[in-house]
Amino acid sequence: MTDSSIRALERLGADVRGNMISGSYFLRDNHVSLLIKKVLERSGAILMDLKEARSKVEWLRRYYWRALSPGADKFTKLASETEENGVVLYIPRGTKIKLPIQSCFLISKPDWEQVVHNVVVVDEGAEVTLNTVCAAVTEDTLHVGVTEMYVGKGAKLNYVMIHGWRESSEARPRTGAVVEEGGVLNMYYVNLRPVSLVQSSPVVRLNVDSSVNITSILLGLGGSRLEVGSKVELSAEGASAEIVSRSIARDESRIRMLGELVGMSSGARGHLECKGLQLSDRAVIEAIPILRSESEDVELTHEAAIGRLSEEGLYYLMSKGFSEEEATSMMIRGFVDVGLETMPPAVRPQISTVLNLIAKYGKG
Amino acid sequence: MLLEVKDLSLKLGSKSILRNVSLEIDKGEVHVLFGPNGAGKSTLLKAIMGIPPYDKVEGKIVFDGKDITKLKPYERALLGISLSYQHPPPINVKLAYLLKKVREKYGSSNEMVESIIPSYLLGRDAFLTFSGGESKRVEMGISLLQSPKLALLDEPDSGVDVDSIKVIAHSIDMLREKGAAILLVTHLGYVTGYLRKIDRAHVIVRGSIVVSDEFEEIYRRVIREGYSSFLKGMVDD
Repeated sequence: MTDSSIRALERLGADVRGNMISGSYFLRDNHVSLLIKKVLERSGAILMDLKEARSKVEWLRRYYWRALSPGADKFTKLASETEENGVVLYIPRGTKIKLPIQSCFLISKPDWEQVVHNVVVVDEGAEVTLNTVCAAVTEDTLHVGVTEMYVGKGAKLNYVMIHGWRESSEARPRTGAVVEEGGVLNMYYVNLRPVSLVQSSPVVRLNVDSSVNITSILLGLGGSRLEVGSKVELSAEGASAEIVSRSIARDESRIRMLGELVGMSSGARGHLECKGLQLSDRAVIEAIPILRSESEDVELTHEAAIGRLSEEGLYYLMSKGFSEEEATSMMIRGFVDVGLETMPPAVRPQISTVLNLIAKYGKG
Repeated sequence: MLLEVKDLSLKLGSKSILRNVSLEIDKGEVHVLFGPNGAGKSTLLKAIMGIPPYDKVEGKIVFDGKDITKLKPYERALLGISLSYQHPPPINVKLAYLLKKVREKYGSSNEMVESIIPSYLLGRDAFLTFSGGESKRVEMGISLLQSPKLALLDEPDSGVDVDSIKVIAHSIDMLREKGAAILLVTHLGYVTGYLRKIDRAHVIVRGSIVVSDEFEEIYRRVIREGYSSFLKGMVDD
């Protein structure tokens, strides 16, 4: 790897030296490298590239294109026709992997299309954290990432995704997840760098007494266009969901926060919260929350607010000795300080570092 | 002289909010500023700190021999002035993070404020859902972390229970023992009963300081006669 590639990944909090992870999958353009530490190997977990898994892993077909349909849009179609690489991760029943598993998707060739398909299966009662970092160090790139996640009965999956693209990059993640009875899925997404377009709207289907927390932190810089949302189908009794978005719009960025909760069964509970910080007259933020109830005894709520930094707050911080720039940065850091409590201690320092960078870049 | 406010007048549009205010505070002195609601007490403290609302300034503020009239609030803070707000605004920043940044800025340690700032507040957004007493204890704690040469304290005793008043009075004594001069705004003077030393008091009415004297003298007059006696002879706009 070149120095610039290493720096790009480290800036997004990737553990390039691999000290604090139990395994990693690294895709540079179309070259795969795998690191499987003993602790992971001994657990019976499987971490493999899709190409290998398709020929070796019998059970893959039970999950392959089940949470998403290849015909959902032109990018899923493109993936179904061209995909070769991607993470296949399986955590066996009852196995709890303490240190995160890391996946990195790097584009280092100009004008490159990286199309991947990831399948993550966390079996009954198992627990794991998958920490994904995506970056480009060259211009005019496209990343299409299909990710299917299956969280078994009583299992828990923490899924972190940090994006750091280039101004000419396009990223089209397509994510589908199914959470079985009593399972927990925590998703945490951050866009850190200027990008031409990120368009993503994961769809999560919740079964009995299962839950999902989805946090998205979107930093809009330069001419970035970010269309990021989530749809959660609360399809069984006792399912619960929380979707939280924080957007910071600078320069000429355009951010659209989409969120949809569908209450399909009694006892389903969901809350949607979209907040935007408008830091430029040329930027645009839209918050589009949708609540849809299809059953009795469903409780769905939403809260949306867009505003600027409070002048009174800035003066308060300046009176404590912080320059205007420092005060702005502190208030941005405070604004994005959400959802960390849903993440395991092992990834909090990384996320915290990324949020500090948001405060730094966001202050302009 | 540590602080010299010389003929300070502030206007917001055509409205005078401070008129020819002059005030001198020497190193380590404790001064109390009395005045009725809307007299300009908080405005004077904020003006010394450099915080609007005002758009026209006449006169001068000299701190530690330096003219600070045109300095920004953070420049004044770094020279050694602190302000404890009467009603600090909610700032969407976790209190623990705010305190950490203040400690980093001033190289101070947390130990001295552990007994002043309740630990259960640390994980919450600063001042968002704090009670009056909680906000004032946090503000006193932050002033202590700043180790100021001059602490401006805006009604640290209003809307506070007896136990918190004792903590606040103790914090004021700590500030003084560390060498800070103090300008304390108080409405009815509750906290003054707990302070070990007060050098001087002033009464501000309608944006002007109308009398400066020994603390005991002024306090007795305020309690006995209220502020109406200080209004005699003043001319309306």
